[in-house]
Amino acid sequence: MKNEMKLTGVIVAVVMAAAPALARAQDERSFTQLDTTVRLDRGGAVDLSLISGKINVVGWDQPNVRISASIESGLLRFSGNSSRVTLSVDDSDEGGRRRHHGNVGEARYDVSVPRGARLILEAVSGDVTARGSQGEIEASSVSGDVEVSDGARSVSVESVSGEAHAAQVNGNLRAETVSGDLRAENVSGNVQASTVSGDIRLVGIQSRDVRTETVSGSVSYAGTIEPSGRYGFESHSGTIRLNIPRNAGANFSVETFSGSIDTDFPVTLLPGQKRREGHMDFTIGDGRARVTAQTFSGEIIISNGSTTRREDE
Amino acid sequence: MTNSNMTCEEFDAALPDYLEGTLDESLRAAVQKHLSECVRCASLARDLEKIRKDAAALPDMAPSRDLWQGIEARIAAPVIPLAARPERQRRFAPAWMGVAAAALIVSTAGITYVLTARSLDRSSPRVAVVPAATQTRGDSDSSTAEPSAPQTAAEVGKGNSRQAPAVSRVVKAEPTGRDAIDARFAAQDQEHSEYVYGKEIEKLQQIMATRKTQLDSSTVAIIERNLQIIDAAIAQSKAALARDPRSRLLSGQLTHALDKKVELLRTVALLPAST
Repeated sequence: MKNEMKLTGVIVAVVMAAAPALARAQDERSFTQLDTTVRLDRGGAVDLSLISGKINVVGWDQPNVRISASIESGLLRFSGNSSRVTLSVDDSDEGGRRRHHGNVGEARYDVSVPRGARLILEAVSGDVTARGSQGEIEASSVSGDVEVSDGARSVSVESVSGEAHAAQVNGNLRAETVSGDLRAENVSGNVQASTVSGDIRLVGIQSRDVRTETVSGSVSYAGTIEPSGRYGFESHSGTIRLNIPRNAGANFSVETFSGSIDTDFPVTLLPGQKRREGHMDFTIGDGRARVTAQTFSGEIIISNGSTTRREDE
Repeated sequence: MTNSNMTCEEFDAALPDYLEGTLDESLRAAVQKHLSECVRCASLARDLEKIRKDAAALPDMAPSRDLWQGIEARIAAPVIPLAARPERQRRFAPAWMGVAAAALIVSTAGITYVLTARSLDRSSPRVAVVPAATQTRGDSDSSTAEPSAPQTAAEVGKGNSRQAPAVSRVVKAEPTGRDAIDARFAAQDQEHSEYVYGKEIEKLQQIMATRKTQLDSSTVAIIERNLQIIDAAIAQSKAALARDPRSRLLSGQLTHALDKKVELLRTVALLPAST
């Protein structure tokens, strides 16, 4: 009985998350081309998805969502009310059967949204871009590129093989790819970035919590080290390159199995400490923040911001 | 979407308890009234009920191990090996894929949590006493990274149905003092982890095998290439770990690589078709 209740709880949680999709309004309509404007309440959601093509969203200073959309073949499904606007591609045929996605034409969405709107943007093989919305953003594509800027509170960008890029984020960022490169610029909030073979490049980060992991890709970080912040960088074979402000206060624990470690900061062994090959612990400034970097075979380079290394250029 | 007594938001909040049958009478009446008036919420409740019924028909997913076995292993000196569990036959009708994948992810998430907790525990200063003679774990000899472990990462990745390792196979070092105990614990932890990961990876790979035909070939190629990259990382970590079983760095690297593999396979399980 207990297990059954747990199962129900899980199902409810899963379905509640998908509730808007499950409970599609009965006034949903289909189009091949759509030009419409819908008033959206403050904090309302705009949910756009397509199979191939492009989603382009910009924020504007009006309380309305303006949609201009078209599809080469197949139909677009649209529903909208003051709390949620949804546009997707109808991938079922006349008999209600699901079409092969190869039989659905390219779609293009150009959408203006009120600032602060929550964006949920999803493409299969299309590109996704969003800028100026200043609200939460969840943007993903399987094989297309994802590029968002001016998100707030919580931003997530995901792609399997495309690139993912987030900039000017005033909130937490989660970025994930499989083989595509990740870039994040000017983020003030927690950062989580993860790839398998893509490179991770973080620039202009102001965060108390940064975690990056990749298997064969490289990682580069340039940003502040906040007092009591936590910064973790992991790679198996890729290079980890950290550009740390000279006046930062942090305790570093840097370790590699067969790679090398190179740092601009003076490494002073404390009494009782022994130098171990492939391992370095050192402290700069007040040592309040904690920085860890680990690789199996990748190089770890820590510069202090006063030097410009060829690799950083 | 709103009636005079209960809003859709209030309905959403009450829905789990309503489905569990734990609402008090007045709230239950309000929910039922709302259901009779709101198309959106009635539709949601119907969908939930259907999913609950569908999910109830799914095969049981037994975890590869539970916490107790790990605790027991630490309490009792001779560690009791895990019993092999017969794999249930599982069939995925296309309509079940989403629910099955979600159920699997819920299951594996718990197991990953257990492993993560275990790995964190491993990083506690249990191995604080390290004699000078063994402080060479920053071995920069890259030749040690060649895959030479008895069981390759590919074997783990392919989900071989081997039985859980018996500890007697692990403890071959001379059992002298704290170091030997630490080494034994480390080796036990590692073998347990690899076993659990192996089982989960096996299940996820079954889903991936089913999904391959539904995905775009270029996406499948990218995923397979990246799985190979992860497998190589697993193999290298394992080979190095075989030489230095107490290395937290290597243990962490292996765990990260295995995590990555599980994560990638989960991603594949949830990709939309024909991508």
